[in-house]
Amino acid sequence: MALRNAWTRHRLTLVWSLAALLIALTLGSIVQLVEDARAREMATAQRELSTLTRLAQEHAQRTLRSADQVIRFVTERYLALGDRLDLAALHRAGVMDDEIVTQVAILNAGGQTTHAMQALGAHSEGFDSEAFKVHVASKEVGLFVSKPVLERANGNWSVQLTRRITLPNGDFGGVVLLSLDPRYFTHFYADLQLGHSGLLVLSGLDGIARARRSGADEDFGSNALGSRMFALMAQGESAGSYTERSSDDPVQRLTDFRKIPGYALVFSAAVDANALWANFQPTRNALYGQAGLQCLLILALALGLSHYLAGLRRATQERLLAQGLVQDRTEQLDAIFALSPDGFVSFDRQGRVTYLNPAFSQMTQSADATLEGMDGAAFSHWLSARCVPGSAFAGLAPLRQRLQAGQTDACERIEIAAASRTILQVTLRWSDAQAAQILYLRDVTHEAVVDERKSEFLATAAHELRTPLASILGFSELLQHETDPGAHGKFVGILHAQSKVMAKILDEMLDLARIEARRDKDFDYTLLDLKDLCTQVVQALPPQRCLPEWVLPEAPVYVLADEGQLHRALLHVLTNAYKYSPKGGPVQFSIALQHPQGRPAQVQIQITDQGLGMTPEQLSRVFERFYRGDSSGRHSGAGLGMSVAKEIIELHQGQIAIETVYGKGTRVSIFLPMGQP
Amino acid sequence: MHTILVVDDQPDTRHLLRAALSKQYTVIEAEDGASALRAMHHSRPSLVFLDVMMPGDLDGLQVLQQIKLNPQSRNTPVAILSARGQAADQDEARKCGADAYFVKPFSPLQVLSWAVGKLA
Repeated sequence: MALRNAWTRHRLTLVWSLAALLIALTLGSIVQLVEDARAREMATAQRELSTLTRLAQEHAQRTLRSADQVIRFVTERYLALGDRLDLAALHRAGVMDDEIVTQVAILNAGGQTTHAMQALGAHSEGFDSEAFKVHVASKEVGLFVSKPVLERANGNWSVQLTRRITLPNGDFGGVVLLSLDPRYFTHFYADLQLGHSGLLVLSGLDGIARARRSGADEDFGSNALGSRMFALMAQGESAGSYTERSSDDPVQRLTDFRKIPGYALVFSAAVDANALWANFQPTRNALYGQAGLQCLLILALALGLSHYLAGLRRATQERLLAQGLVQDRTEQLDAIFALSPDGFVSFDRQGRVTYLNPAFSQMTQSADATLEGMDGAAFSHWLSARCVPGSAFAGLAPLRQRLQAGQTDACERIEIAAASRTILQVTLRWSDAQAAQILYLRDVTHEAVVDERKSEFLATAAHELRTPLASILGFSELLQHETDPGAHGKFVGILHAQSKVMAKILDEMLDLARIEARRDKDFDYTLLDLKDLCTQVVQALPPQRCLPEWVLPEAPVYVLADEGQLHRALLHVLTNAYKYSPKGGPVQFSIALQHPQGRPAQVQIQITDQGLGMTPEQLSRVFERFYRGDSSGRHSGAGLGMSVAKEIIELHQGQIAIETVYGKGTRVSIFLPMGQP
Repeated sequence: MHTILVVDDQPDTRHLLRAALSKQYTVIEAEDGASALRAMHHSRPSLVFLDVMMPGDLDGLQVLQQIKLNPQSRNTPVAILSARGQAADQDEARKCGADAYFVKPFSPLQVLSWAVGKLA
């Protein structure tokens, strides 16, 4: 039982472990999928950013190159035409692209604006002094791109590109300056959706943003020298990408940058990583949802399985419990069968003997017989062979037929051939609703013998009454037709005597019946002196040939007895003593006290005659009802006297015993408990 | 005067039959089967009344068979006296050769008239 239980528990653990493993695998694969998807998303974003920066870089490069061409062209024209150069005319001629160029001017070596494409306002010094000074300091600068400058004339931001004018003799001849609207660099990508926190920045290698677009806002001049981009460029990278939390705002950005070859400029684009992830959110949610569903499914399966297993376990436990109950019950039944005084034989559905209890073996005296497995017919034959002929077992088949005919049980009586008479009532009944049967054997010897005795008693009583009745009927019939007066008196005498015999028989029968039915309930026990009682008994005798010889103790002998009943019993015994010693001889009547060891004191009454005595056969039947040792008819009586005496003595807790020698005489000993006065 | 043998272990029955028959016949008695057969041999009665249940080795029916087997007594009418009145008992007695069957208690006058009829 414990083993099975552990096994089921083990299976439950296994189920849940498997479920946990499956869930872990599912979650792991989903996380992996999410991670992969995110990486793909990042890679895509990075690729897009990279493309964007490349385009932006090329755009910026082209823009700068065309601006530089304009500058070089103006420089060349200035060197050729000198003061005659008309920038406005060139502008009008379309040499400068209005979209990009807001101003073109020439500053002489002293820093004054000598030419300008657009008319200068009141304040001519709207130019970045660094853009000029850088060329004064060095001939090698090339194209200088200034930091964004707020032009006071129009309030616009501009980036100023300057290039040194080198006079034919090599001297510094001033600079050509070209103003660009920095937004042009970034406007170009206005349509690109970089998100709310997306960035497009054109920075100088000095860290100062020449143009910066953050979402819909533009700003200029911010310094990003501390950013990772510059660190990477310091390591020699000309392009790259990274993800970094910005120092300005708490936004994590994916940034891609690319240096603009030939210019001290770098273009970078950045997107909000969170925004990217936000894009990725639905995918991730879908994956997580799927994972959740899968996990739920696994859980449901595991739950179902464990429920099933738990049910199985419960069912197993219940079955084991039921088996235990059945076993207990079987053991109980076995004990009952084993201890039962009644015999049991059980048959299976095929009619074979499956079980016999010890009582059966004892009843049928078949301890060493092997009957298990025997079929019904063989068993019937076997049992029949053990019976007294005439009371043999008729077999199981007739009993089965009676059962099948609808009787709840079918029985018959058999008598076993054994040393002591054994009459068994054999009953067959169903032991289940199918076909198994139980043969039930009860020892009814006692009941049967009692029944037989009753029948015998009735028959004998009828016979005994019939005898005097026959005389009465016969003589009364003769009397009616008798004419001899002498015979009349004789016949009437016979009629009277026979009527008295009948009355005596009836009295004794009634006495016996009453004693048997009432036991000693009618007895009135008193303490009496046995000597007095015996004297009365002798006095009650019909006139005898002589009185008995007395042997009595001197002191009174007390017994606790019903005076009338004990009187009756003693009278029967004494009468018999006289009756069966017809040739005379003394009858001795003695009373003695006995003190047997370890038992209470008792009174012994002995009545001894020297009469006919009895044969052993007569002795063995002396207490039978209506038995008369001498049936010659010489001795009157119903044959109930000794039976009545025995009943009465035994109801007084006494015993009666007879010793006899045929032809010599008989001694009847009666033992009664001594009464305490 | 005819002699009639009455066989019965009950003295009262013998007494009754004697009272009924003795006026017209000589009545001799036997109390068991053995003495009955002896009486048959010695006294050669003309008619026998025979009880069935008797003590001793021979019961009434056995005595009857002996009487009927003996050529000397074969023709002697025998009436059975019995306390058993069942048809089966009567049949058995008739098979053994009984000429009449009287169930106790019987009418002594009927018994007498049967004897008179047989011995007429």
